[in-house]
Amino acid sequence: MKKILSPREIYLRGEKRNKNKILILRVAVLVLFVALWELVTAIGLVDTFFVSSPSRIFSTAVDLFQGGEIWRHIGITLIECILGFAISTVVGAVIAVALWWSETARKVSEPYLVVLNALPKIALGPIIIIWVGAGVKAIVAMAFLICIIVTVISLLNAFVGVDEGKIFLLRSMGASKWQILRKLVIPYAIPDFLSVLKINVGLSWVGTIMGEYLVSSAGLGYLIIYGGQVFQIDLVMTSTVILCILAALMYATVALCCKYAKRFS
Amino acid sequence: MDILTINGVDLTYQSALGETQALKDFSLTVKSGEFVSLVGPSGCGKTTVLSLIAGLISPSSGEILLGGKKTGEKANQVGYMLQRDQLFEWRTILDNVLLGAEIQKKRNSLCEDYAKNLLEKYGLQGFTNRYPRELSGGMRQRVALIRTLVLRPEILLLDEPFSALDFQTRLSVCDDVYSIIKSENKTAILVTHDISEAISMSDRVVVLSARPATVKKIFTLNFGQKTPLLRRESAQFPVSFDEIYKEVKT
Repeated sequence: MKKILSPREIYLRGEKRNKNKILILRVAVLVLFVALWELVTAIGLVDTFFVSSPSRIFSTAVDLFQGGEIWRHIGITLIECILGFAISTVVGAVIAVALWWSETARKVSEPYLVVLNALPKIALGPIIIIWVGAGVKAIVAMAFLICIIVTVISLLNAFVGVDEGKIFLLRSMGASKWQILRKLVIPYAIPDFLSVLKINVGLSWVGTIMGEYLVSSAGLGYLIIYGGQVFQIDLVMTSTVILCILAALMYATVALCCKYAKRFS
Repeated sequence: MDILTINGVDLTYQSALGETQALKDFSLTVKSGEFVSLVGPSGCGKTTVLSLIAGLISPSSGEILLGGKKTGEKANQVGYMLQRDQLFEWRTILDNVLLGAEIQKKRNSLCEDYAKNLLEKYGLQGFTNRYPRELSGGMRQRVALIRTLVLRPEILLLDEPFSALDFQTRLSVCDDVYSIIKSENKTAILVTHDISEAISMSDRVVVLSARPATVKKIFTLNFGQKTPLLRRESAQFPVSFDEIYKEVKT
């Protein structure tokens, strides 16, 4: 006998089926892409010299990890990225608080922020190299520059957007500006701060890799550029895949922290 | 005893659009324990009067005495209740209620006990450690009132505290707030554009003129200690409404 389902059970079953379908399709897209790539290169339809192939990427990865040298590249890129991310977030938050505090400073800096936001930061590359020198410092500076403007603008918008009524209430209680900042503005802006963190993870990767393209002697960005120059497409592809995995892992870590922080705020 | 004396206050403020005279020769006295409402055409400066009493702005001329002292000399004798409850979503109900005490660095176990007492007394006992989003609109407004009471203010300033509520809730919250204020024996000044709300709560209704606002007429009501809902049912209610409505209109 077939069990008769209630409308609720039918609905839940449908929802679950839908969810599974999405997951299966997601995996299928990847598998299909990799399989097709492997196929067209295996039968010689496309030259692996130009597009590499999944199996070649895999064997290159195995070689790289067995050689051990790759760990140094990963380590350097990670450190640059994390430094850029951390410094820009902290400095950006401090600047945003300062601009919230002083209306004059806020108004004076407004056009500069707009211009700096619109400016493609890569244009500053040569200046950075001249000022801080080539190497890790220049790359961190690039990541920093890319993140900082967005951090300042987003946080400042959140601070300024605080409900006027709540400020009025605190003032009627005799609150000082410092108390308004601590008791109201900062806790109010925490959700915005968390989304700034998520944006900055992505941007600091952009800055790091861009920086490594400009000046570096190690790192994943360096491997990609080097691979391109010597026409080793396998190395370029493998480094890119590793980069994808790292970026995804770092984003997932920050997203997890945000979720955790949200629950306790 | 007069707790509040406003004596010939003028207020002119400057803005990009020019000079605005908000108040002109404004005088009013309020006795301790009294409930006074300010009604008048919108934009006439009712809220400005409250800001003056709170000492958040200073008059251009004239004086305001609160508890015998000039405002501004002794801060925080007032408790402000605003249009929306303005509870902080990230604080528990107890922490919200103790916000003022925290700001004035007076938070201690004594005032925490007082706050808990008030919450319990007014039907919020199970909610001390809950968050504002878990409360209904009426309950939130009650929390907002208790937040002002915790500081033991000499006078409560209510700036259209019910206008964001729907009509049903408004009637019952009105009753709640009235009985809490009466049982705590507080003086209160209510600003509202709702004449029936003013009549249902106050001992006196002050009608203000259009800007520059001045006291046009004061109506003394004789409902005794009747609650707002009972007042609305009384035969005197529509009579008072008509009188005041005519005065506001002209």
